[in-house]
Amino acid sequence: MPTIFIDDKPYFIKEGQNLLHAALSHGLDLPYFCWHPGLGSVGACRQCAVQHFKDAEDTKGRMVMSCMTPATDGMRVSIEHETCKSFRADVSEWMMTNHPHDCPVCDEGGECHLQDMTVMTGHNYRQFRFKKRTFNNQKLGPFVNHEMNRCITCYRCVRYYRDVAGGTDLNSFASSNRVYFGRNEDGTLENEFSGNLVEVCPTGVFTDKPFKAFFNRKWDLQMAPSVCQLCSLGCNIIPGERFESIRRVQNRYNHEINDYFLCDKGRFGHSFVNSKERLFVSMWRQKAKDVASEISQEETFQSATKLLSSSKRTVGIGSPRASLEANFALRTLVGEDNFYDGLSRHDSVLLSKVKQIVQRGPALTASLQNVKEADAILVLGEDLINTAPRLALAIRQNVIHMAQKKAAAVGIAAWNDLAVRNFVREKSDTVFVVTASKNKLEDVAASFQLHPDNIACLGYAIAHELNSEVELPKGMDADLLAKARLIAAVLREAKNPVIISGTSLYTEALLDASANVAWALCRQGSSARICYALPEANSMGLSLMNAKPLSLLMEEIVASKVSVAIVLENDLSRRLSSENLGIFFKNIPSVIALDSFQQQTVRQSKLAVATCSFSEGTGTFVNNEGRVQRYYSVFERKEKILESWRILRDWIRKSKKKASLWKNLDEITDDMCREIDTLSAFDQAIYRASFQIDGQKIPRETNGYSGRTAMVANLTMHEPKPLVDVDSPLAHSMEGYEGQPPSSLIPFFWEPGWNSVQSVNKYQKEIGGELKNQQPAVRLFDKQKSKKIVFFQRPPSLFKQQSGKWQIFPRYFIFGSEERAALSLAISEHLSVPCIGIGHEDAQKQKWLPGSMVNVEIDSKKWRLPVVIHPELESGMALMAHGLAGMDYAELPSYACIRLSESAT
Amino acid sequence: MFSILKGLWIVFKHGFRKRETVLYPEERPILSPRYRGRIVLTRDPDGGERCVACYLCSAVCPVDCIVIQATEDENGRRYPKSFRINFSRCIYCGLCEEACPTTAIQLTPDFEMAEYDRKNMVYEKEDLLIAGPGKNHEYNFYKVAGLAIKGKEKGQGIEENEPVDIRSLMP
Ligand code: SF4
Ligand code: SF4
Ligand code: SF4
Ligand code: SF4
Ligand code: FES
Repeated sequence: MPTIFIDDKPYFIKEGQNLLHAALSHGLDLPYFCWHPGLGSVGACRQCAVQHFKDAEDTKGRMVMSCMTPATDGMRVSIEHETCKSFRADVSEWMMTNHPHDCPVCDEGGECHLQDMTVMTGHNYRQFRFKKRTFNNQKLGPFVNHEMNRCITCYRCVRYYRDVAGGTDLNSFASSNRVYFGRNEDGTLENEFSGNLVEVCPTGVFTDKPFKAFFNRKWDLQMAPSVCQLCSLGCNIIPGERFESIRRVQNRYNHEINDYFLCDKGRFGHSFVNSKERLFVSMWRQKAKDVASEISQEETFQSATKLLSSSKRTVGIGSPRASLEANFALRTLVGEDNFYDGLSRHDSVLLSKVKQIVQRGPALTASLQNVKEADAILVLGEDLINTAPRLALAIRQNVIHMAQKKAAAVGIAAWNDLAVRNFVREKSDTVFVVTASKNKLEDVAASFQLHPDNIACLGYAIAHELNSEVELPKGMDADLLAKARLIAAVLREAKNPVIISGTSLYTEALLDASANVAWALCRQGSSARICYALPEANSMGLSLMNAKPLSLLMEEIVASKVSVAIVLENDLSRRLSSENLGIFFKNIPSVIALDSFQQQTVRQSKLAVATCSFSEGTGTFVNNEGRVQRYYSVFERKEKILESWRILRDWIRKSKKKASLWKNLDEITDDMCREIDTLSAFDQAIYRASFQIDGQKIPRETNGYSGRTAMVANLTMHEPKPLVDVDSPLAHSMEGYEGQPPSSLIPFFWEPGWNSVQSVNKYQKEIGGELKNQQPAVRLFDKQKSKKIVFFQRPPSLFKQQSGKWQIFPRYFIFGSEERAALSLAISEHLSVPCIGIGHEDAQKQKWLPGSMVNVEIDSKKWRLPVVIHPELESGMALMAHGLAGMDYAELPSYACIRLSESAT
Repeated sequence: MFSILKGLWIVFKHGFRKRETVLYPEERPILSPRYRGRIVLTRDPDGGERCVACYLCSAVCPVDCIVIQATEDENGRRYPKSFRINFSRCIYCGLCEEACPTTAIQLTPDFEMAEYDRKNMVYEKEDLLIAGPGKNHEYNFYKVAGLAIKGKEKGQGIEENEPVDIRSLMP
């Protein structure tokens, strides 16, 4: 192993690192700005200077920028040498000449990399006595605030935004001392990952805008390790709370999933917990037409148990966005026979197919890290940017990774960002993205558009190329076959390719086709992985519960005489057509809905039970790859609201006369693992409430948490004792273990001298790699694979246009299709509007213009929607916005007539 | 023996000295402005609220008896939406005053804060905010900060240049 000497001490390093990376990996304090582990080095800021010596005798040395200098065996450098030390202080001072006197009103203050580095370099008095440069700011939309005066021109923002996230509307302007970072003109940042600027920018230029309206310092927030609730990838997040409201969400580093970046839905969507639509008290409605009246928790318990005890048949309807524990509690209450999945018909079918594929193998599921490091990627159908945004960013990271590999062949180090980019300028030739409409990956990947059935056929054809056991779809044209051959050839060469697909086009054949491709590759001996984007955060978890499809209940609903239905954290108006929803409510006299916010099912139910949200309750999700992850409650309300599983437990206790059932989360977890085979490895993924380090729990509050003795002084002079958390090893307190907890229990990143997000450096074994206390991930489908491969046969037939009709597919939106994210204030300013997407050809033929109002008729139901033109869409198909508020649920894909609406405007 | 007598004599002599104690409350002591008593929130010379809700006082307070919530007004000024000090906890150490970057929070020579009910020692913002600038008559944070607020646009602060024209082609 190569060794370098830093200030005469030997350090082992890894081949191919730069000095800065090596020094930070060893926990040394070396200031830097323009370098970022997710961006590489460009040597722009000159802050990371160190002294490099010829040999042991050399005491003078020469100054080099550590981020631009490869660390080589036997190298002697010094961080502490007077020359470089004073140079670094000077660099800080130069940066500060124009820096505004803003810290007190700057949202970065207290977690500012510039503050930290300035302190680290020892520059503490401003000697510059001249006027300061100023800039005008821009309005960049609801997510990111802009305060240009604070810029130190490190270029991280544009490098992240353009080179990593693929945005085009942020740029650098002007020259010399006036360099400006912003858009060409005011306007919302277009990229779906703009929120990361908040963490990437080392200063207060880009800050969290929604946070600004009710700002708190980092040290005053109560934080807990949590998991994003808004898509199936399960990115790790840190929500911060003050005064019973979630103030902001930050990235929680997990090298296997989201590393340094989140999508904007995840960052800004979770404030739905503060929304006006939150349900804090339960409601009772005697008759369907009555106005609901508020009832206490005790009354809720009484009325629910009364309904249950007199019920002939009680059914439970689970939810893909409720925790495993909640679903399991409901299943226990109603019995497996009466437990339904609460999914739309298509979702049920697709989800069980996905489960079957990942369980049966032989292809393992891919984590985002696998995607980033894959040597070939094929996306079949899924519009990732809207259904699994972070996965789309992972593909972009993969393209960078592959470029680095290419550059390595000519001796360019992976971290030498600019050189890599100059060397590899073309698009990736190993990433293929085939979708129904534009996918926003066109600029980096080989991408084209097809009808979903044709995409599936293409998938079959690729699999056929790889393994002739797979049937070749009939009637494929030469062009498509050539494409299949090309993609197959690339995949064949790859050692660890990833095949990505998903459920959002409601096309089962896509799942089959992608499995065939992955399996055919596995048959060849490559370690191909498969990755499915699923509809919701715990879709995979729900699929493990052996729930019956909701559609089955709907079929027998009249005959089955259900008296009570318990709907768990689920809005059935998003699962059933309005007609079926009517039937549901008509045939079930008492519907009990549990949820944390107002939605249609809650509004229509007899008893609406307020449950706490992810911010106040602890639970577990299984993400799309089968990874089990627990999210921990961030805070507890004074007027405590219970988790769904606790409410259901109380009902079980009463109805089954088990007075001491499930006293805490650990007990229900144990029961669950016992009853559900697939979950038996679950234990290793979580820490029990009794887990302590040095006899202490892990504090959710920083040791700088202020206002303890005044926060509730307006209510009582007696300071309440800290709440006891019986469910987790975390404490609602600032007291506890101060070191670094295991990776899944890190409530916030902080180290002395490192107050900003970059303190994550100190938690990593090697910068950019795994955390020091990394727990091995528990991935449920990594075992139990059979070697035998049975390919899916019967490819779909190629799409044939039906005259006068369109085949309608759903179109998801990152901002809008997730019902809860849409309630968040920031996202509600950025919502997509209902529309129908039509291909260019069709629109021309029909003489429809963008914005023409049309009636979309499916069966006898009508949707009146404005037309949006997607030039790339095949004619004969259309994309209808899906999941947006105010749009009736449509069962898709279906054929529809589209006519210009009479009252066209 | 002699030393005892000497001691008695000195004590006896003190009986004729000028009194340091006063007959409080009839008579009131004159305290230095630096005395650390009741805390106030002051205003800048223009009458604007000085506190910018930076949370430094609450962070430094050793007994954690200050709690603040920041917000922003329509003019872009950050200010405390709520500001509470629990004086039954305060130890009048003055660290908050020292930490304050805007000289908003100041300790005053008023020490008469005894109450029969502890509840009355919890002061909210309206109890703390006074009409004047307190001990510092000049400082106006927003005049020196880079942040633009209504009435002080970018470049209009003290020691600031006009905003850069980013479209200019001059070197
Ligand atoms: S960017 Fe950092 S140093 Fe600059 S004003 Fe903000 S907190 Fe202070
Ligand atoms: S805006 Fe922030 S990230 Fe961009 S150059 Fe300035 S300091 Fe660096
Ligand atoms: S004087 Fe000391 S104890 Fe009292 S509020 Fe200020 S910092 Fe806290
Ligand atoms: S330190 Fe001063 S400006 Fe900051 S919150 Fe306290 S009183 Fe307000
Ligand atoms: S970090 Fe090395 S020059 Fe900026």
